Amino acid sequence: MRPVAFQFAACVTVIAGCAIEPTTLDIPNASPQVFEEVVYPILLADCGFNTCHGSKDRFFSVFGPGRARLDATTAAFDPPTSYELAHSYTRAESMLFGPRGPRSSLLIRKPVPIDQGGAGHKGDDLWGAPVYSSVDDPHFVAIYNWATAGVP
Amino acid sequence: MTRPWWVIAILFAPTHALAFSDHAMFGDPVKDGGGGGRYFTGSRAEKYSCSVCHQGGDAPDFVVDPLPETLEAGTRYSLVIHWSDPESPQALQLELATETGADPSVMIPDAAALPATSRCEGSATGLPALYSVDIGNRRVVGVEDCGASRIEVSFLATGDPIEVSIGGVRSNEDETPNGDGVFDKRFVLSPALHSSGGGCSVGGGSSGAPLSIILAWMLRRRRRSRSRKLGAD
Repeated sequence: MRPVAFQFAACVTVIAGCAIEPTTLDIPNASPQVFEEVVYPILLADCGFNTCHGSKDRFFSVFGPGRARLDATTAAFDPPTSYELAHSYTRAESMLFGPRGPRSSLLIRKPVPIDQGGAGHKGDDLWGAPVYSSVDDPHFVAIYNWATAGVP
Repeated sequence: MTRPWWVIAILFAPTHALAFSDHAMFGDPVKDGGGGGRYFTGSRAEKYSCSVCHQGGDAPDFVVDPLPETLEAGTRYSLVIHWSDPESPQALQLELATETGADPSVMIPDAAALPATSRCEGSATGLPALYSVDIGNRRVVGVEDCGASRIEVSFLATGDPIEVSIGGVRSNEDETPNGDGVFDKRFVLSPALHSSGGGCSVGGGSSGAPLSIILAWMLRRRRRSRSRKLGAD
């Protein structure tokens, strides 16, 4: 075999050996009902501010009463509209994709301290603290339980 | 939750600086349009201030009267905030907290003793503009945007630093948080330092012994060098 052909064959062999094995992607299937009753009010209260995740510029966004509204013509204190609920649910559910399932997703890792498995969050509070100071925060526990329910 | 008729009336009044025109709404669930327990004082426990929603307008002109640089433990101090143009819709929330997050015995005057400047419409017969809400070991003090121009609250110095967080909003009256001005101030009041040992003492601390040994060694070396010099002469 000529040297160039040998090198090419060697490269192909190495690349083939390093190829990522195809895996199945776990599609999150978090309950819409639990979201509406438990998780939506938490995300709305803790994230849905105009300058944070109540902005349409953010992929992960949540809208509703007492916070930013999806439609500016909706009165500030009107109940959540079906569009707001659907939007907030689909965006939150989309944030549950992770390399190792929902536990490694950004919705779960972003709001907690890095030394507790967090992924870092640009929007720290005024004192430089993450959204939830601990993975034991009741609001975080509720989100986590919703995200991981039924996940092995 | 049932509210008296005047609260309902306030809820539908068009010009309010706070998103939650009735201060009780800060504690209401967000699904009902409330604050979800957030008061937006900007304190460590609260995390966020008014600027997390309101933005873009001229800041309110709240003036915080100077406090002593250091506080004597056990002494009660007054925090005074005043502002001009009380006719424009301006509201504020404030919180004082010790290092543990606890309220340093913050007190607001009795409603009957409030001066006209701390009442709605600046009138001696107006409703009190000042209110306080207790949340666990925290106490949040708020001012309704109803025409008051000065408030005074007192607190007890504890001997620990006290964090003061004040958040305020001036509304542009368009019913959205956009175009509203925000006042956001946080500062720490330090306790007075008192020396307990009666001044500086080289030998009094844990580093005293090594320091005196070094000093003695330097003195001895200097004497030797001087005696060598004298001998050379």
